[in-house]
Amino acid sequence: MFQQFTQCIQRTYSSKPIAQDASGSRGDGGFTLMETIIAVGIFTVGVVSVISLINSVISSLGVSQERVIAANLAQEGIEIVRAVRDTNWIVDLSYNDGLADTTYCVEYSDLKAGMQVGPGGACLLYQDGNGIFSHASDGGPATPFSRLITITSDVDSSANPFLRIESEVTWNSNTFTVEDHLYDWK
Amino acid sequence: MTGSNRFEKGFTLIELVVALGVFSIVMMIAFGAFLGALRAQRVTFAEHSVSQETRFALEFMSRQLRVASQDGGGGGSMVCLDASNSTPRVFDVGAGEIQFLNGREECVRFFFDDGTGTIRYENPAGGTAYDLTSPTGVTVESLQFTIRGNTNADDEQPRVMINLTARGLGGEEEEAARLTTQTTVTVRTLDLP
Repeated sequence: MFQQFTQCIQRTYSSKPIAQDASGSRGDGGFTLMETIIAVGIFTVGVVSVISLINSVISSLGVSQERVIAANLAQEGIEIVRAVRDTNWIVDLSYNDGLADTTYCVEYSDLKAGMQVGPGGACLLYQDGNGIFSHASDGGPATPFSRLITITSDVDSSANPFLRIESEVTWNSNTFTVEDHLYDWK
Repeated sequence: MTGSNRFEKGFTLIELVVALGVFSIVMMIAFGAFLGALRAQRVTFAEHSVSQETRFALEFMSRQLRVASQDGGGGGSMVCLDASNSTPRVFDVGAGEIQFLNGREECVRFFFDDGTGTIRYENPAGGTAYDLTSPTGVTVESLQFTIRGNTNADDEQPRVMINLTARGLGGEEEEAARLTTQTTVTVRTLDLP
């Protein structure tokens, strides 16, 4: 046993005996082409998967930043509709005046004027030189974001009527929706 | 014995040059990928802290603006807003700042500090001003407020639009991480005449 081991050591570390008596044996020939291709193939698969993982993480982080913008824009849509309802109360109109069941483009600077759009309307948002988001196309370049408000009148389980407000912000095939229910309760 | 044996010959010059060439090309590609990943990581960290700070600042301001109350109503004198204008109203807005009575009837002023690139808040009657965004985390570039329905006589519910632009702090990569967010807050207390 021990003899075999020392022989093995000798074979490994002294080049002369191997060169002389083991020429042509498999241990001498290096790697075959097949072995090399398989080894390189495995290595490549590993590297490619790591790189694609890094890429997908980076792009999903970009989306998460866009979601922060979208969430705030969607909330803005809800708040503007809420301001319309509250103003209706102040001026003694019905709480849902001007808030019929359809789709709307709402603007931080508008009250009711020109809000309604037909079904399937695109409410693309533009950004002016000060970074303000609005639907005014003359303000500046278009952003990837669109915001469409859908109002549906509904009745809850206690037969109280309410307006279901859905504020949907879409961008590059992503969507962020906020839903709120507005009642005629002051 | 020596020289004739293949295993003692060493490498030829051509072999050495080819091997070094291949090695250096592989290393250059690997290094390029590594540097690219490092840069992407710095941008990612900056974007993360920018969204984090933006979310917090907007949430903090929205929460207080939502429950703002009217100042100078019922013939009373101004408690918080500019007394030279006696019209009862909810907000005083300037460039990058807003002042109002919050839900606890405390006078609050949110303002953009251009010098430190932060949003800060204070009680304008005196006391310390506090940072709302971290001066070591992000640089705020602009803060804008636009109001509607501010006075009691305008028959409109008060609302505030907040627009905030912030960018990362550090090198060129961090500065590229810029975020502009906008939201609107409608005051919850009904502004009845």
